Amino acid sequence: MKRWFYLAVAMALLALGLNFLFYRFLPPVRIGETPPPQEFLSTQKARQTAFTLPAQNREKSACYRAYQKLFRSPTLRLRIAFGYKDSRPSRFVGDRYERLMLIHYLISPCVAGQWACGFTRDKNDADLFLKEGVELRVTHSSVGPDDEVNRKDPLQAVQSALSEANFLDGVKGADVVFYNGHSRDGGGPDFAPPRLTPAHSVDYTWYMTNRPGEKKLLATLAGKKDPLVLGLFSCRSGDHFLAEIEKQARVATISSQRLYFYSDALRSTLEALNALLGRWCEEDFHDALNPKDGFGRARLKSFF
Amino acid sequence: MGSPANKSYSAPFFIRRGVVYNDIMQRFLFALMICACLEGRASQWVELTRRIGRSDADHRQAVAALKKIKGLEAELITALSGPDKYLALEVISELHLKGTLPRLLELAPTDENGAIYLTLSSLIDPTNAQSLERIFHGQLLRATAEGRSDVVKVILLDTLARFQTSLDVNLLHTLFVSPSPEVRHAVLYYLSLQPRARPELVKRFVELGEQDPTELVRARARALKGGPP
Repeated sequence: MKRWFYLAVAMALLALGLNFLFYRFLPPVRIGETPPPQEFLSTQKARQTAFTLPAQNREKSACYRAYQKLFRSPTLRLRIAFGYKDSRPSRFVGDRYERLMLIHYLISPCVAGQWACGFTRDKNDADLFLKEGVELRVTHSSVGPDDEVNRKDPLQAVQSALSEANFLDGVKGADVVFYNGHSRDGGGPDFAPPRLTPAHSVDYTWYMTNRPGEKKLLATLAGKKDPLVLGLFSCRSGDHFLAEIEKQARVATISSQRLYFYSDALRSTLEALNALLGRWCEEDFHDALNPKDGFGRARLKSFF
Repeated sequence: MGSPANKSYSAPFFIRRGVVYNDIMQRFLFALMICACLEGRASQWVELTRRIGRSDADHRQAVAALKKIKGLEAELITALSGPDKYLALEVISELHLKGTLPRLLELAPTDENGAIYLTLSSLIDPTNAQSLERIFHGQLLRATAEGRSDVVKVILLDTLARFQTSLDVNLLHTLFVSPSPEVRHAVLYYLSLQPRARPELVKRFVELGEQDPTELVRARARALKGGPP
């Protein structure tokens, strides 16, 4: 009988001990703070950053100088503008959801190796995200997931104008501006429901001929003196826009020579933001933009 | 010429060794061929999927080619657990592969980016609308109770708005006190797509929306009221 009593006491103590160990060493699970999956932002650490360069000769390093220039003000101003991401011939529009996927990462607590995280959201401004020394504005272009419904929605024009202003004002005055959207065969960046042919498909001929988005971008870039990192995460942005941008202003660019699937573009956007905030040097930055299992073939130019 | 004993030993030995070597080589080459074929097929659908969003002509060609791939559905189900998950989901939506529904429903409760819910939503048709509506409703209740990601809640709300599902007032209130302005906006957006919503319910949420700290929600409340954006 005694033996059973001692065994029960030992078991209870063991359970208490295990319980203590679990709660002591396991991270607490809090409702409403589901961590984002690691699909779009790797935890791979950079081998060399502007922070880790040896102090004695870092002034000579192109990496250090590039980040000194970028972080010249007390606050780094960043903009991410999602274009109108319709998927014609389907009616689905995805940028509203993609922005929310991105926000999930931005407001999550940081883990080692990650920098595009730990932001606090402004209570009165839904698009503004802040963390020490960084001010980030993230906008989307569509008001709903259905292109046909959006075209009749009185708020659609307002939302399109808001995201376009975030992009163009950013090009004018911010330090880093990313566009994640359609290239419209050279007619983008585009923040509004697309112009359609009578057969209800995107009128690519009109976009190629008129290039409305590019014209606005180039007009805003004209005479720009301040440094800017302009990331265009859209299909073949390098072929469509790079030559004209380089003629217009001396800005650093991130562009791709290939077609972007939306998950590749989202991943590239997050990885680029992560690398910039972590002040990653050239080789690591390119590895982040072009992960081995990725596809985008993005390129950072004229920054380092 | 050696002894018969030696002959009888050496000949079969070398023959046997040759057979063994040949067999190993054959198996190795066969495995290599299978791997190459599988890899070729995998990259074939991946490459075709990337062409879907290019132009209308590319889209048509890619979809036609995807339809011809034998055993594609099984490959896509496998790919749902790998790095090509998002491309697989795109093909499932595009080709309306309803055979993948059971696997998608299995994976949905762990989907924090909402991509699986979007694919499920694209597979809705008159034959499964009722059951999927019930599932989406249940998932929204669970997502709200378990504090799942905002994007999941917004996608579920948007889909139920499309179904014109009547949602409980308490659930709408719970969602409307969310710290995420996008979730609050989605509640008003849901109401804006409900032609049969009770006017007093809409009025209550319009009043709440007009007091919201963010312009995103206030603008939607004004639009719901019928005022200028």
